[in-house]
Amino acid sequence: MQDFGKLFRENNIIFVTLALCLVFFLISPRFLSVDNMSAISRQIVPIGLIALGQFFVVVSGNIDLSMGMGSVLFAIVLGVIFGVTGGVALGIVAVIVFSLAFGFVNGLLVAKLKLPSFIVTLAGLFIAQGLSGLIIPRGQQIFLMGGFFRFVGAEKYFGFYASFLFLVALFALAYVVYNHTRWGAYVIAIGNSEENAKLAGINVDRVKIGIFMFSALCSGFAGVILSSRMGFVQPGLDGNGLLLDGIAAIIIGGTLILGGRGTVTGAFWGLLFIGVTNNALNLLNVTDVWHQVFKGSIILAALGANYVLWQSRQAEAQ
Amino acid sequence: MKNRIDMKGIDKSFFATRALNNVDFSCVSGEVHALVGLNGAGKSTLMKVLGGVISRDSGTIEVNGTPVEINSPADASAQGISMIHQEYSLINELTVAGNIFLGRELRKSGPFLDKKEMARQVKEQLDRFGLDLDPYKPIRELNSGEKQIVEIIRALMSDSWLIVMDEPTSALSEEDKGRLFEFIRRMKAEGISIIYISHHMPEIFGIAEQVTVMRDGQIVLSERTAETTEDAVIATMTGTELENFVKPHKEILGEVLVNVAGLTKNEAYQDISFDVHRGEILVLTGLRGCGAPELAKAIFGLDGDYNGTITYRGAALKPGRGPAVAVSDGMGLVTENRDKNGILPQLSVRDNIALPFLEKSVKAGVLDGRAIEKVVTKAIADTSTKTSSPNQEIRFLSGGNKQKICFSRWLDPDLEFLILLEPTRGIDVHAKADIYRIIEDLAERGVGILILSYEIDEVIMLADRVITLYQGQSVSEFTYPNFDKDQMLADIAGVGQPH
Ligand SMILES: Nc1ncnc2c1ncn2[C@@H]1O[C@H](COP(=O)(O)OP(=O)(O)OP(=O)(O)O)[C@@H](O)[C@H]1O
Ligand SMILES: [Mg+2]
Repeated sequence: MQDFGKLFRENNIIFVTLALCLVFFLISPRFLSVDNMSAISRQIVPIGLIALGQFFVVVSGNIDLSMGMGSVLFAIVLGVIFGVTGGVALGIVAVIVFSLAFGFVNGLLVAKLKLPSFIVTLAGLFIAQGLSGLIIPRGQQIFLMGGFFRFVGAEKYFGFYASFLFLVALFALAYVVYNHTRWGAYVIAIGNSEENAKLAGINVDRVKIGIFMFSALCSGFAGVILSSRMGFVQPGLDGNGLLLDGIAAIIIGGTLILGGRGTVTGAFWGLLFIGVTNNALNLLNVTDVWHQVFKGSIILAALGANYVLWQSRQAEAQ
Repeated sequence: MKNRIDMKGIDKSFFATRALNNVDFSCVSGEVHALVGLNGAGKSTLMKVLGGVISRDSGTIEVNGTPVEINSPADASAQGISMIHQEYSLINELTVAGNIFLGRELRKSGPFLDKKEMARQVKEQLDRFGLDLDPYKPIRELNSGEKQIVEIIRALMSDSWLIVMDEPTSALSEEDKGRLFEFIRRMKAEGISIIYISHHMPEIFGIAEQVTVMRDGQIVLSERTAETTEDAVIATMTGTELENFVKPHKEILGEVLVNVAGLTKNEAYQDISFDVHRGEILVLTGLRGCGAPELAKAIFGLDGDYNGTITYRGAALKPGRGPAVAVSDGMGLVTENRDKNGILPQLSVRDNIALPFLEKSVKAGVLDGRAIEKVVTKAIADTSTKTSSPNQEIRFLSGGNKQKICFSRWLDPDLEFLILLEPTRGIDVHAKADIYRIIEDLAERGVGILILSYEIDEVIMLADRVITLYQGQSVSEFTYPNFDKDQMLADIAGVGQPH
C-alpha cells in the first residue's frame, strides 16, 4: 500500500489523466469503447509529434513557435510534389529535406546570431503561413490518393494504427536519446546554464541547431500524417492550434517552461491528457466555443491537482 | 617528460577596464604555482584566457615551446588544461556523476552512456574525499560545500596535466581543505601541475613552490616561496603595508536583541538555544553540515519549518515570515552563495546595493535618487569595491568585489541585526581587514551580529562569543578572552572531550 502511495506521488500526471478518463466515462460510457480509444490514439499522433519536437526545444531553454504552421507548409510541399510528379517517395524525401533545412535556419539564427528563439520562430511561423497560402490559394486543395496515404492514415497492426505505433516508437527513441546518450545530457545542461555548458566544453551551437532540426523534422512527419489521414492538403489548417496543444502536453507533463527539466514519459502522459480532453469534448458534443472554455478549465484543474500532489510529495520529503 | 606552459604578452581590456596588461606567465609540471593579488587584480581573467573561456586581445600561449590556439574550453582541455572556476559552474538538473563527466562521457559500445561505470569511478573519488554521496543524486540537492567538492573532483578526474584552481577552498570546511591539500600533494608527485589562486597566505606557503603576485593587471612579483615571506607578498600585493586588524574588545552591556530557544529542524539542527545582545558579535562555527546556514535561514524568516521559538526585540517571530518583513524589522542577511541568491546579475552595482533600501527611499511615490546615490557611494567607498562605475553591471565584477557588494548593501542606518554567512569568502587580505573594521563599527553602533565562519582564525579574531556546532548540535560555548583554539577545533570535529 505504501508502495502504491509512492507511485501515486511520483507519477501525478498519470493519475490525473486516469481520473479524467473516469469522469468522462461516467458522463458517457461510450468514451471507453474500443473504437473511441482507437480514435484517440490516431488523433494524438500529430500533436504528439509536435510535442516531441518541442520537448527538446523547451528543455534546452528555447521555444519553437514555427512548427505548427510549419507542419501545414511541409504537408503542402508533399502535396505539390505528389500532385506534379505523382511520386510518393520523392514527396516524402522533399518533406524531410525541406523541414530539416527550415529547422537548420531556425537553429542557426538562434545559435550563431544569439537571437531569442521566440522571435526567430515567430517570424518562421508567419513565413510558413504566408508561403502555404502562396503555394495553394485558400479554399483550394490537393488530394492525396493511393496506397501509401491510406496506409499512413488508416492501416492497423494488431489493432493499433500504424501512425500511432510510429509515434510510440519515436517516443521510445527519444526516451533513450534523452536518458542514455550525451545528447540528452547536453540539452539539459544548455537549458540549465548555457554558460556552464560551454565551460564543460560542449559545442552548444551544434546541439542547439540539432534540436531545432529535430523539431522541424517531427513537424514534417506531423504534416505528412495529418494530411494522409484527411486525404488532402490545404493551407487553412489550424497549425497553431496543433502547436499549442503540443506545448500544453509537455508542460502538463512536467516539463519546465523555463527549460532545464522535463521527462519524456511525463510528456507522453501530458499528450494523453490533451488527447483525452479533446476527444471527450467532441464526443460530448460540446459546441466549439464552449469546447475551448472547457479545455482551458480542465487544463487549469489538472495543473491545480498536480500542484496539490506535488506539495504532498514535498511534505513527505521533509 | 616535463610539461610547461608559457603565456607571453597577454593583453585584455573590457571596454575601459584594462584587466591584463602585457602579462608573461609560465608554469611547469610537478609544481604548485600560487597566483595572488587583491580583488580585481586580474587573476581570474588571466586564467580564463588560458582556459579558453575568454579571448585575449593580444599575446601568445605556448605549450612546451610550441604556440597553440586555445579559443574554447574544449581546446584547453585538448591541451590537457582544466579549471575549477571561481563562479559556480555545475548543472543543477544533472546528477553528480553526470556533472563530473559532462563533456567527456564514458560510453558503452555505440552512442550509449556507460552510467554505471561513470558512477563507479565517481564513487571511488567521493570515498577518497570522505564524502558519502550518491553519484546519481541531482546536484540541486547538494549543499554548497558538497558542490565545491564535486567541482574539484571534476577537475581531478579530467586527466589533465595542468589544473587551474580559482579559489577552490572558499566553500570548504577545514576538514575538506586538508583533504584537498592531500590530493594536491599526490598530484604534484605524479607530475601534475597546479595553478592555485587564493587569498590565504598560510595555504599558499603551505603547498606552493612558486608564487606570482598580480596588481592592476600586471605581474609585480614572481618568486620561489622558499625565498620570500608572507609579509613581503602581501606588501607587493597592496603596494602598501597592511594595517592588521585588532579587535577592540569591550564588555557587552546591551540588552538581549535576539533569543533563540530550543530550535529544532529534524536533520538540520536540534535544540539550539542562544542570545545575541545589542552590540555583540556571536560567531557560530563548525564543519560542513553543522546546520548553521539552515539556522540563519530560520532566523531571517526564509524557512518556517522548525520547532522552538525565536524572539526578536522582545516579541516572538512568526515562523517563515519572509525576508520582506525581516528587512523592514531591521534585519539583514549576507548569504554564503552569492551567485545563486546574493546578487541580481543583470543589474548594476548601484541597483544591487540599493535594493533593500528602495522601499525606504520613496519620497512622494517616486524614488529619491539623491538619497540612493549617497548610500551607494558610501557603500562602495567603505568596502573599497573595485568597479569602473556604479552603473557597471555587477556580473562583470571580480569574484571578491561581488562579495563586497553583497555585504555593503546592508550598511543601512536602520539596521539592528545582521546575519553574515562566511562574510569574507573570496575577499582579499586588504579588504578583509576593511570588512572586519566595518563589522566592528556596526557592533559599536549597537547592531547585533550573528556570523557563520568556517575559518578558525577569523572566528577568534572577530568574536565576542563563539558557539561550536557539530552535526546540528551545539557542543560548546566560549566567551572572550577564553578562546581555546585547540578545544574549538576538537569540538567542531566532534572529537572534543566534555569540558
Ligand atoms: N566580463 C567582464 N566585463 C567587464 N569587466 C570585467 C569582466 N571580467 C572582469 N572584469 C574586470 O576586470 C578586472 C579583473 O577582474 P578579475 O575577475 O580577473 O579579478 P580577480 O583578480 O580574479 O579578483 P577576485 O580576487 O575578486 O576574484 C576587474 O576590474 C573586473 O571588474
Ligand atoms: Mg577572481
